[in-house]
Amino acid sequence: MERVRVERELCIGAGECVRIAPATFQLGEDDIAVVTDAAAATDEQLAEAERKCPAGAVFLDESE
Amino acid sequence: MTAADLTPLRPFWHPVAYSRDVGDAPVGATVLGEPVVIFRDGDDVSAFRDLCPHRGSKLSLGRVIDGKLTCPYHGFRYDGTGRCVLIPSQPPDQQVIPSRVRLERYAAAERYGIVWVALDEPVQELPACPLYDEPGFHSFSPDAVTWKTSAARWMENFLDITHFAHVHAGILGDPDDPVTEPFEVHTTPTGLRYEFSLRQQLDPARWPTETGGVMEMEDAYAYYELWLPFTISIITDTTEGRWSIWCAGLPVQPAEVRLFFVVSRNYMLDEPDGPFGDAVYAIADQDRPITENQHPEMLPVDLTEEIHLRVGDAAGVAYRRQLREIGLAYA
Repeated sequence: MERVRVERELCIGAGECVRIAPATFQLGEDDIAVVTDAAAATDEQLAEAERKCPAGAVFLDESE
Repeated sequence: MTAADLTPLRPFWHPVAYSRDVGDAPVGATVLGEPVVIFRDGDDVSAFRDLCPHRGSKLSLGRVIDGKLTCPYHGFRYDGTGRCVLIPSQPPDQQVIPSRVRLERYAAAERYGIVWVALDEPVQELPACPLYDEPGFHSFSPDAVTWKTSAARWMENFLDITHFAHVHAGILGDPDDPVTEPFEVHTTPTGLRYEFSLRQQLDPARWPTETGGVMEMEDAYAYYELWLPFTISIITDTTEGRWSIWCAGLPVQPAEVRLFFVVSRNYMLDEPDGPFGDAVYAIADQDRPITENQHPEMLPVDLTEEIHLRVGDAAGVAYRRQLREIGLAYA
C-alpha cells in the first residue's frame, strides 16, 4: 500500500499539502493535488498534511 | 488582528435602514460595532457617528429641526455635512462654534428603498439588485430581522444548497433527493455567481401560487449572485413565473447580523405581498437556529479550520477565499 494518497474526488485544491510537503505533493493543471514522491516527506510532514487538509482528502497508510 | 477584527469591512457599503423608516426623526444603527445615526434632510440622507462631541450624547435620541440634526441634550444643531450651526445656549448674535464641534461623517447612499453607509471611503459601488427596476416585476421589502450570528455565517448559509433537503424539507428541498449535482462557481470583480438545476416542488401551504397548487420547479434554474461582503440574490424560475429573494446583511457586531430584504416577482402582481413575506420568514426561521448555534460563532476564513466538500461547499469555499483577500481572518 502506498504511504500516502490524495482522494481526487475530495480535493478542493487548497494547496495546504503542497505548502507542507512540496517535494511530495503538487497541484495538477486541474488544481487537484497529486502525490509526486511519497518518500520525499517525513512522517511528521505527512501527518500535518493529513491533519490540515481542508477537504480531508489526504489519507495516510496506517498499516505501517 | 484579533479574531473578531472586522476593520477590513469598513470601506464596504452596509445597509442600515429601510428608507421608509427614515422620516422626520433621526435613526440609530450599529455598523461593525460602531454607533451610527442617519437623518434625512429633503432628498438627502446623511450618516454620522452617533455621538455629540460636546457631552457624548446619542444624537439618534434627538430630533431633526429645520433640516438640522439636533442633539437631545443641549440642542446643538448640525447640518448635513456634520458642521455645527447652532449652540442654543449662546446668544443668537454671539454664536461662536468651537472648532472641534464637528461630527464624524460617513458615506451615505439610498437605493432599493434602503439607506447604505460606508464607514471609510467606499471601495466598491453599491451592490446590484437585479429585478428591482425590471419592467413587469413587483418588489417589496419585508421587515428587517436580526440574527445572533456573524454576517458571514449567515451569508454562507444562504450560499449553501446542500442543506435544503435537511433544513427546508417541503419548502426548498426534498429529503428523499439530497444529492447535489456539480455546479461551477464563477468569481466576479464584486463577488460570486453560480446557477444550478432545481428539482424540488414548493409546498403551496408555504409558498403562494395562483391556483393554490404545487409550484413546480422541475428543470428550473436558480441563479445566485453575491456582492461582497454580504449581499446576495437568488432568482428562480418556476411554473408560476420568476421570483427572487435578495438580501443584504448588516454586520452589526461580530456575532450579530441584521437582514434587509427585497422580494420580487412577475406573477400574482395583484395579490397581497404578505404571504410572500411570510414564506421568506418561514425559510429564514428554519435556518436561524442552525446558524445561531454554529461554533465558532465567527466564520473561519482559514480553510483548514473546517471541512469542505468539493461539490456541495464549492460556493462557501470560494466565498471564504474572497473574504481572505479582503483581509479578514474571521468574519
